[in-house]
Amino acid sequence: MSEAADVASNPQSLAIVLFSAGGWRFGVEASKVRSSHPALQETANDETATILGFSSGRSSARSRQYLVLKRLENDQEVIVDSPVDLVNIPVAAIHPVPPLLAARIKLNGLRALLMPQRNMAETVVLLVDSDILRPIP
Amino acid sequence: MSETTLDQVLTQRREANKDIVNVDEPTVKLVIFEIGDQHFAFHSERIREILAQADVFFVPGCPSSLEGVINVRGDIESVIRPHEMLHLPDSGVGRTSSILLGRGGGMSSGIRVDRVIDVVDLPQNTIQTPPTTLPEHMRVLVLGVLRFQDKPVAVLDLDTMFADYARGLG
Repeated sequence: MSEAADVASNPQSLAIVLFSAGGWRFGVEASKVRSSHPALQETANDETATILGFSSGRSSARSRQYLVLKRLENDQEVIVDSPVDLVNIPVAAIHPVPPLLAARIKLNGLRALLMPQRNMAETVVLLVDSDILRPIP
Repeated sequence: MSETTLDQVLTQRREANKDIVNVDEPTVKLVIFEIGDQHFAFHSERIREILAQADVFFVPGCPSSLEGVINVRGDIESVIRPHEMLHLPDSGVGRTSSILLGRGGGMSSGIRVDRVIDVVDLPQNTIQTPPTTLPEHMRVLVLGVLRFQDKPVAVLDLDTMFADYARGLG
C-alpha cells in the first residue's frame, strides 16, 4: 500500500486498509491512514494484537509493516503484520457489530465486521477504530 | 304426518347454531428444544427462524459461550451457546444441533440448541407457574413449566436471557 488518498472516493464503497495482527485480519478506514512502509527491525512482541486487547492465538506473519496513522498533531506509526492492503469494500459488505457480540467481546475499538465472501477458509475481518491503534508506551 | 317445511328446517338449524358455544381455549405457540438432556421452550413470536445449518464464523476475543457470527441473508447475527448460563454441559456442535434466531429485549441473536423437538400450539393453561424448587440461576429465566411428551419443559424468557448475557452471565 502507498498513499491511501490515491483511492477514489465512491459512495457505494469504503476504502479500507487491511492488515494482520495476532494471526487475524483487521481493517481501519483508509482516510485515517497516511501510508505504510516496511518495518526496519523485526519486533518480538505482537504489539498491535496487545493494543487491540487480545493475545495472539495463532502464528503471526514474520514480515511487519508500519502503518502511519493520521493524528490531530503528529502522525503516529504502529507496527502491524503483513500483508497490508488497500481495498474498496462495498458498503453492503460492512456490517454493524451484533449487540451481544459488542457487549461481550474483549477486543478494543471494534466498530464493524466484514464477512468472508467466498468460502469458509476466509475469516471475519474486524474493522477497528484507528484511534485505538497507538504504540504501547 | 305433519309436513315439515324448509323454513322450519332452516329455523331449527339456526336455533341449533345459537347453542354452539365457542370453547376454544387460548393457545400459545412454543418452540420446544433440547439442551443436554433437558427440554426448554421459547414463545414462537420470539423466534424468527430455525436454522438447521449455518456457517458460523469465529470471532477472536469472545468468550467460549459466543460461538461466532452468521450471515443470514445479509444480516449478521451473533450465535450464543446458552449451556453455561443454564448450568448444563456443553458437548459442542452435534449433528442434530440447530440455531434459533431469537429476538428479545431489543436485541437479536442466534441461540445454539442441541435439538429442536417441535413447534407446537398448546392451550395456555398447560403452562404452570415455575415451581419454587427451581435452582436459583433458573428462577429469573423461567416463565413457566409444562409437560410435553412426558418430559418437563421450562419456558424461557428470551428478554432476560439476552439481557443477562449482555451483562456478562454465561
